[in-house]
Amino acid sequence: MMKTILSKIRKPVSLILVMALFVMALSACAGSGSTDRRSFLIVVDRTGGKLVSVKYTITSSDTSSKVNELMKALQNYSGETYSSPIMAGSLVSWEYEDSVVSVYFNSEYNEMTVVDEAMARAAVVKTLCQLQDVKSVYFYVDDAELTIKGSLVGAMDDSSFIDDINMNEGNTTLKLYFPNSDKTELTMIEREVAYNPTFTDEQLIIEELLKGPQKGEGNISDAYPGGTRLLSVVTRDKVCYVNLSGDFLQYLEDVPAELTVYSLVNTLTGLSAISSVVIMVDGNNLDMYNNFNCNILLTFNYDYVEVNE
Amino acid sequence: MIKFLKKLYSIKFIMVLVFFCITLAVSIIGTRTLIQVYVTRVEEQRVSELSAYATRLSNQLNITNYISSPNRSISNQIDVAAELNGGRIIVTNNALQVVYDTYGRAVGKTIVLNDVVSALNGSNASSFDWKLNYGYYAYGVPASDGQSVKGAIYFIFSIEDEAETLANYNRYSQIISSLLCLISILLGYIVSTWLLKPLKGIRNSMNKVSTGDLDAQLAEEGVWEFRNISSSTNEMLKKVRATELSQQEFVSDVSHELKTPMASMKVLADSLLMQDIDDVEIYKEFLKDIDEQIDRENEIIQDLLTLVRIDKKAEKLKVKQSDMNHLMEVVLNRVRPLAEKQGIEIVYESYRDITAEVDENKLIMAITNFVENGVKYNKEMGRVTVTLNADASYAYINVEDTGIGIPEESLNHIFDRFYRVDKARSRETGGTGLGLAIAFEVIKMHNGEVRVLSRENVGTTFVIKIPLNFRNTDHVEIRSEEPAADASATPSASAGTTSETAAAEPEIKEENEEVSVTESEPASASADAETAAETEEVSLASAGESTETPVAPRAEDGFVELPMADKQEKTEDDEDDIK
Repeated sequence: MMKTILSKIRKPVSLILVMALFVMALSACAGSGSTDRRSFLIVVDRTGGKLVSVKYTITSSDTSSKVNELMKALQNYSGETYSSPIMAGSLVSWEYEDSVVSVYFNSEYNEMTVVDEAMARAAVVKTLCQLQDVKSVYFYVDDAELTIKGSLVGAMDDSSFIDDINMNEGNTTLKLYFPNSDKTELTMIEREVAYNPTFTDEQLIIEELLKGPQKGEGNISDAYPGGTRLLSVVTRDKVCYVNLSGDFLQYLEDVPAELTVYSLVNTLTGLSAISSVVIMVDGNNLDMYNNFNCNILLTFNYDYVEVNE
Repeated sequence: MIKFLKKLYSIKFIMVLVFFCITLAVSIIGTRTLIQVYVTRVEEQRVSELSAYATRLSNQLNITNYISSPNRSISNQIDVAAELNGGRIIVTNNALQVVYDTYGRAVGKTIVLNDVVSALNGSNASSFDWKLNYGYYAYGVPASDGQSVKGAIYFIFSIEDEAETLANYNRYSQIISSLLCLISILLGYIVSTWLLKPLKGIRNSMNKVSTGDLDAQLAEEGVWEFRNISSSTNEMLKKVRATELSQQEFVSDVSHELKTPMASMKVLADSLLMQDIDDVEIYKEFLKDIDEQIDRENEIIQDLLTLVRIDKKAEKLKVKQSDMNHLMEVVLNRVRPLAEKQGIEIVYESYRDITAEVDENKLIMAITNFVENGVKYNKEMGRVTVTLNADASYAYINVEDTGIGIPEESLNHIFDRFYRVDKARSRETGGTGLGLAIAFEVIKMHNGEVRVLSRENVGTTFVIKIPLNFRNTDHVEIRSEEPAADASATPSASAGTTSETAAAEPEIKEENEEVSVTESEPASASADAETAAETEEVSLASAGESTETPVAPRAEDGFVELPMADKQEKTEDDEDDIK
């Protein structure tokens, strides 16, 4: 119950937050990096189970001193239920150069358990990577690059760590083929969507295709009959098996059958892991779609793709 | 606006509001419980479904040493399992690094999620997100060989369908709740309208009454409370009608009584005018008769005024501590001349010294009436015995005569205005028929009681019971001593009595005048004769009874007992006794 309420609330709240941030970004346009001013310290819950954000306001102006400030704040952080991720006495120094932060530890660093070490590293990297100018972070222990289980850790950034239940997978740009507005050929559009942690790439793509054209994506038209649902999608040996609901057979009158079929096939075969597509409806192989024979392994077809100058 | 709000403060609106609030509360609680039950069930079911597979996979990974050296066939098995469950499986080593991801996207990253960390610490952990279109649940289990944790298996499965069901539940329960609320408003309105329907009838009838139709009757219908109030109101209306009727009767009685002397005067005057008479003696005789009629008229008017004044609520008793024996002396002294004239013996017996809080003037007037009554309606050589006694809380005055008695059927009416047992006779004895009515009113004002015991041709006994301590009811003003100050201010002064000469007891004197006008008209000779004829043996019977205690009822002698005061008053008196 709480979760559903929270999920309902989250949307407007995040919207408001985004708007607020936007307004702040507009008003505080003095120099680059001013958006760093409001930051978070990522600290560790005392039970060791999770990372927590704590509000922090940066006062420095240039990136180097910002890094200094954040590192000191992290090191000295002490709270009621949360504690500093950095083990006392282990931190030696840090330096910022060319978008890279190097953090140096002494041998005491190795005394942490593997889990605690991973959490601490995630906290430091995520805190530092909030700064726009910081692209990557390196850890050194006794002047040697950090190794975990015998392998070098190397450069780390925000995406090296998954600390969010949404898997921190961020957004991806999908290439989708839709019929053009004349319904004569397919047009490729790019759409940026957020990853869904429970969706495979195929699933994500097909769900986006079934949504049809979105606002601001002019010159394309819907290829799929309304109400069509994706029942399942599986890729085996580079063949993608797409199982759609029976609504798929409510043919669209004005869209040629081959455009609908190749909208799906061309889009899916755009993924490197897929070379051909088998379409099923309600679990049965689809032989004819309207009057288009699709009882074969369908591969990318350039015949229907609009050629851009 | 305020008018509108005031109108809202009604049973109907409150009922509708209460109905609405209850329904709303119940549906909100119900919906929440239902959804909570559903969510808990799904979560438990999902976890229990997965935990068996998770444990098996965990064992398999250990046996094949998958985490340190991943192999393709196990990866494929994991893929199939993830696909069948419609989700994603991630395997990490014990440094939180992703070893395998069925979606491939997270391999090589470090996963610092709570569920994974707990799994690495050796315990299963799960979390759910019920977002619509995005709902999933995560489940972390340790991959352990029994001694050390090698890594963790992290499942993320979609609960999109369940989230959608939940959203539907929410939507439907909202619709149903709002429908229920609407119905409850409607129901509240209908029920309250139905319950309050009789009220309109009651109001209409009341309006009718207020426009003057006293015959209006409320229908006794609807719920018990309304039937109750209707019947009470009907009772009230009955009383009002009775009062109205008695008032009309009173007016007609008054007119009749006032007319009689006028008619006599008219006849006498007419006959003088019509005839040509030279004899002055005849004129004198006629004028004497006219004079008598004028006196009578005057007397009736005086009595009426007294009665009206007593009836007025505004009339206040001037209560003070009084010596009852002294009071009785005054009464008897006043009546004695009349008694002597009629040859009636008055016996006074006092048992003790009694002081009571009474209005002396009024009480003297009242008791005088009772005693005079005994004298007037007595037989020749009869006797009136007056007894004064008291107990802890009441003074008792018995006035017992050896007279003609009162017929049983008349007993109920002797205190009615203008009521006379024998119309013909009473005209002869004089009196206006108001004396006992006035006396009764006075006793009632003192919260006292009057009982009448009577047997025809034997005699009548009035038992007057007066509380020693006056209870302050609505029309009372207790005064301590100085009666002289208010004497001129009392309405009785307006009765036309100007002969206040005795300075010692001005008030008593004043009442004295009034009462003597009322009752002390000399009885005519023929009345005496009649009384004498009816006396005879009765004097013996009454003589024997005169020594009895004043309160004792005498039903065994055939006397009819008539308690005149209200039952309510009586019980209150009894309570006072106990105190």
